[in-house]
Amino acid sequence: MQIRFLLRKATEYVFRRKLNFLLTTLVIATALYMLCNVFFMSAKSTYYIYETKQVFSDTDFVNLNILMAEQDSAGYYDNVEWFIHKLDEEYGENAGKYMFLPVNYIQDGMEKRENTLYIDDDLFNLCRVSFHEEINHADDKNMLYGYVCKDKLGDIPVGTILENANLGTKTMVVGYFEKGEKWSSNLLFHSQEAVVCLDDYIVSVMDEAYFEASSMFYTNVYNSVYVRLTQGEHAETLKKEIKKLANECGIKCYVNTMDDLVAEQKKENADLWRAIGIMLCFAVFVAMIGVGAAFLSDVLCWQKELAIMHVYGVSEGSLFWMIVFENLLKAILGVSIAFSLFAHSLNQEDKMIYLQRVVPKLFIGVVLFIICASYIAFRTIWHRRVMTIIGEARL
Amino acid sequence: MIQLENISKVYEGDTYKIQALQDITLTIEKGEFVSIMGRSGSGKTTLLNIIGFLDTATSGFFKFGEKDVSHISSKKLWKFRRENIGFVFQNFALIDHNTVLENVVLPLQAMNVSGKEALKKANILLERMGIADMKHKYPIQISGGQKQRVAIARALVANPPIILADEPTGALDVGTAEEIMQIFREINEQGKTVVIVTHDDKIAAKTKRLIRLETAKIVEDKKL
Repeated sequence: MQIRFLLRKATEYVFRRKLNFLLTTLVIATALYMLCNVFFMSAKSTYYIYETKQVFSDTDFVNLNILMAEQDSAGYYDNVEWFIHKLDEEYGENAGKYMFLPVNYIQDGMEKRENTLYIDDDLFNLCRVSFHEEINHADDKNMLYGYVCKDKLGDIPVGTILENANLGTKTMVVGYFEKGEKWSSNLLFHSQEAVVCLDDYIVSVMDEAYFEASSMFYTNVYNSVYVRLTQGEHAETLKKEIKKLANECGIKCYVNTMDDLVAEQKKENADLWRAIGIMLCFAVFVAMIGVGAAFLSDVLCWQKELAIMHVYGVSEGSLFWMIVFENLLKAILGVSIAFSLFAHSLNQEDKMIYLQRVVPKLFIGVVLFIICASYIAFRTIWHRRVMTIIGEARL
Repeated sequence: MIQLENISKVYEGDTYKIQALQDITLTIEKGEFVSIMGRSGSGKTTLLNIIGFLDTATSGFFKFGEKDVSHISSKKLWKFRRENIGFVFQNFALIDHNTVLENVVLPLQAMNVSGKEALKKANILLERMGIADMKHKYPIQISGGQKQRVAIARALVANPPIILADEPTGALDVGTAEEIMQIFREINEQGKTVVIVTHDDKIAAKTKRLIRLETAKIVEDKKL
């Protein structure tokens, strides 16, 4: 293949026909923006199933989400405390709880936020997390920093013991997490904080005394408990036991196994797909027709040149790849516009879903589509005889 | 050099079947100056396309030099065409947005000849054609006769042994047509084989051999 020649000609063609190039690029960008929307909706609907399974090292557990009282009721929170005690008694180290506690404060006139995750030691190994190798030897994981917070370790070196005078608790700084480590805050997949990146978190492994001392745990909307299954235990049986215990304690809570939550999410997804399926098909159809028509129009514009090049010894394959290369240039620009505009419209968490789950698939799809559409456009003109094409050219 | 035996070409579709060539047997030796004449639809352009590797015969034997090219697929013929054939068209077939010089270097670019060498060869040919001062102009800025000279320069630039011309004077006035035929004669005198398709007796008379086609068959083949 005459690669140097075809690259030169395709690039030359782009520069000679800037308007065509820009218009087709805009068609691609618009079509892709539309597709980004649809594919993002689809990706988001399955994201938490995917992501939660990535986060957990073990999915044999039952998750409890304790509901807040409908009205302010001190009695209700007493019941919650009692319920938690009963869980501890019943399930011992298999029952683990955790709590998110964001704290806003002012430093040097700037408002800052410190995100802390308090967790049971029992629960710590439930999630897949890895640590920086320098502190991997630490056995007693008391306090860890997220990747972004690791600079604080300069001020607070590994081994420092921090004391909370109010609670009378002590914690030791043992290191920091690798970049991008995550924690599942609860298993309600549709929650905005179902999966949290720990990069800017401090994670404090607390003993039972801390939770007992902290009334916040019982009143925090994010509180959650995981109860692991013991070997041979059936998740449904455990679920019934916990529901019964909750009823006895007068507690309102969601109790779900991993399978329940996946099934619930899949049902929601099926409903969503029924609603957006037609829209998706239509969007894909319009996008393909639009881009295909633009490609065909461009190829028709330079069919005479293609025929002349063929007469003078450029192979059919080279001509085809010349068209593909030109269309790929348009696609790269179109993709850059559409992908970045769409990413700009998303919040941080959605952007992560978009980058992980939509961009790679859509990019591969675009490249394959460009090759197929280029082939169809090329074949549309190339089934005719070269001399006919040249003969039709104006004198 | 070119040997055709019982060459036939049929264009066939769902609703039509056209016999473009029927049992054409013909030999063109190196250095010949041949004209192919015939009315519209007689098959002369089809014959030129087959000789120029732009089309393949439906049946028959085609030998090029010492090589049998009858069964080579049309997709692989581009290499033979690139190395052996230079084309000249009635409508010049110049690329409008390329300059005269860029048009002439095109076959060399397709052969990945270095830019400097390609420009050198193209400049020599433009000089020979008497249009060196036009090299930075676009086809739209020059006359028909000048365009055909550019087309001839492009056909010659890769130094192919055979030049095929399809009605090269069809779009030119009588005086310019004379000049173009003079160029073809000079090219032939330098040892190249020149085959011209024309429907004009006066143009054909300037060649050294006349092949006349009628309804897809050769009806006359004579030295002039």
